[in-house]
Amino acid sequence: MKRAFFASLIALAAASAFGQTAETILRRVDENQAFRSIEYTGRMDIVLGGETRVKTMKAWAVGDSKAFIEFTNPEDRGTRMLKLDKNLWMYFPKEQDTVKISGHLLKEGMMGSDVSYEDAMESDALLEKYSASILREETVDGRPAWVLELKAKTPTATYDRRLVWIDKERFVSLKGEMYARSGKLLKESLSLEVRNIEGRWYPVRTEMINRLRRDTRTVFVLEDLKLDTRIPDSRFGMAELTK
Amino acid sequence: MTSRRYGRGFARPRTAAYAGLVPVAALALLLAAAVPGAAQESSWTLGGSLTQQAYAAASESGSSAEGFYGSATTLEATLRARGPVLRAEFSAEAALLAGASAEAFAAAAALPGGVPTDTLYSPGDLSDAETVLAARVRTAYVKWTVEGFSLTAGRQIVNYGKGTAWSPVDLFTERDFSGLSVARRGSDALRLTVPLGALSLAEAVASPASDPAEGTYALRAAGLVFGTLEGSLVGARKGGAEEWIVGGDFKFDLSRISFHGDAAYSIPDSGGSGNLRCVLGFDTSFGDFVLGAEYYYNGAGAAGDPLFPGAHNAYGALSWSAADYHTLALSALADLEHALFAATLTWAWGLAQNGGLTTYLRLSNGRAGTEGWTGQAGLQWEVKF
Repeated sequence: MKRAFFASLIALAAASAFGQTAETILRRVDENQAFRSIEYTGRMDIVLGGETRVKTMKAWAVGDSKAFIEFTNPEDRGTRMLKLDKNLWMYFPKEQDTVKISGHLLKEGMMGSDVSYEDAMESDALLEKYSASILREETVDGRPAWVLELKAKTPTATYDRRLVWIDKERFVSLKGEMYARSGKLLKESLSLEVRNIEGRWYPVRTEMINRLRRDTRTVFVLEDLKLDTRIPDSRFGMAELTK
Repeated sequence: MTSRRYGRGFARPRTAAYAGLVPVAALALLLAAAVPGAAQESSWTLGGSLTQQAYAAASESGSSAEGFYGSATTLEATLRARGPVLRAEFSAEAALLAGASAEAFAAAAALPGGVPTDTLYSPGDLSDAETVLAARVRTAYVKWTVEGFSLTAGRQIVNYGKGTAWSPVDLFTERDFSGLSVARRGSDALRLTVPLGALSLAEAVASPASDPAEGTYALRAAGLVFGTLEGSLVGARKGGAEEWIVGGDFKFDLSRISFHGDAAYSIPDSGGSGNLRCVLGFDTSFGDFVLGAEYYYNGAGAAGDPLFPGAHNAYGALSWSAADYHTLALSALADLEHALFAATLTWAWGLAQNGGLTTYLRLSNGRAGTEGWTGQAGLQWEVKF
């Protein structure tokens, strides 16, 4: 499965997508959003306390196990992220320092956004970590959708429960809600724009809202999206991180 | 605690001989942006920051107190050029120091070793200077990368170790404690890196001084060992200190706590007993708080670490994201053996996308020339471009 969560920071909506039967729906979502590789220019608009901070980046990913992001906005220029399987590193150019993001750092908001490193890392583990069922049908912005409920099968799942709204025609995630074990709503995601790219429907503008913080949201925009391009393996190594 | 008394943004560097780096870096920037056949992927960027800091302080002087003030305005600019094979970076700082900052720079220049060796320009006579304009080269290097192999030549930050305040295996960089956060200084070196799979590497670094016999040379292997455990092993020769060094570092996670450690054992040429320096530390977060602490054992005394000569040292830091764009942090460094101490309370406000304001209060003892206490209150703003 080639889900795009990390790759589009990696498609926030994909992380909340999943289950005819719930599992069949989720497989269709996977097929729709599957890619061998992805390359794009991205922008994160982090809205906090009424102010917006913008991060821009270039990103490359192969499948869901390899991803490389380089930030290009002036304040973070040259800061890079490398994901290899379940490992994540960041490189800070001013100090020429490479730091492995793990442990408690995974809970932190990525570059100050509402997307945690853990959110970004989860990628296709959803089917492995959650059991899915169809809860009901609703419309989201006039589009008919299935509402799927995902329950954690393993304590290593980032969230105890998720709800995802899957577009019945285009098989993309339109909306998602992530809950804690206590039942508290932690985060919400919303696909603001879905575009047909090379015959596939893909969320290109997605919003994440952290409900634990007041008056904050992050909008992630994919631009110049290219699917299934040839990306050399050397792109995804420690040498590239510090290049 | 920090016995140096330098102006902000300027601390004594360790390495020598920058002569020739500037023209080399300038040429490399041109080369990197003009690699034949690679024009489509070549790029260059210019960025930097302007920082202004002002502070007032009072220190004990015998039975009375002495007040002083200082300010520093620092312009830092970094030019990077990158092609698919060659990359170059040139980063320099210019600072206008006034009041106590100028005095501190003059005091540093008067110490053995003279004007810091990475200083590009400073006035000749500093004895009565009320303002000082100084400049230094932070980095100036060329990096050649092919199939994961890389060769870097010039002033660079060779970043070893996992410690926050101290890293005994950080053989090539001097840590600068004079600012609001610990910074690493560059060194003039030649560095060859060889990949060992995607997650590990081996490297050889040579930092020859003006006399190569006095230089520092190291071999190192580093990578992800298993699970969350990452680590490195280092073997080095420090010609200036006439000693061999073996050491390593590690970092791993247990639940939400990350643990790290560094150790370096030095063996003198004289055949005497060796000295151990090591650090153990952890960091974690809970809610809006981040907590970190380190213990540092320095068995080499002042010869191993002139800034922290005591055998037992401790560091702690607690930060709190108090509100949107506002962070309150308290950090402390202590030489437990000599009862020297420095604590800093900062309030950082992210004013805008490209800059912020930091106010701070600092209390320390053991400042150069005194054994009394010094209190300092300051303000710093920074704009990035």
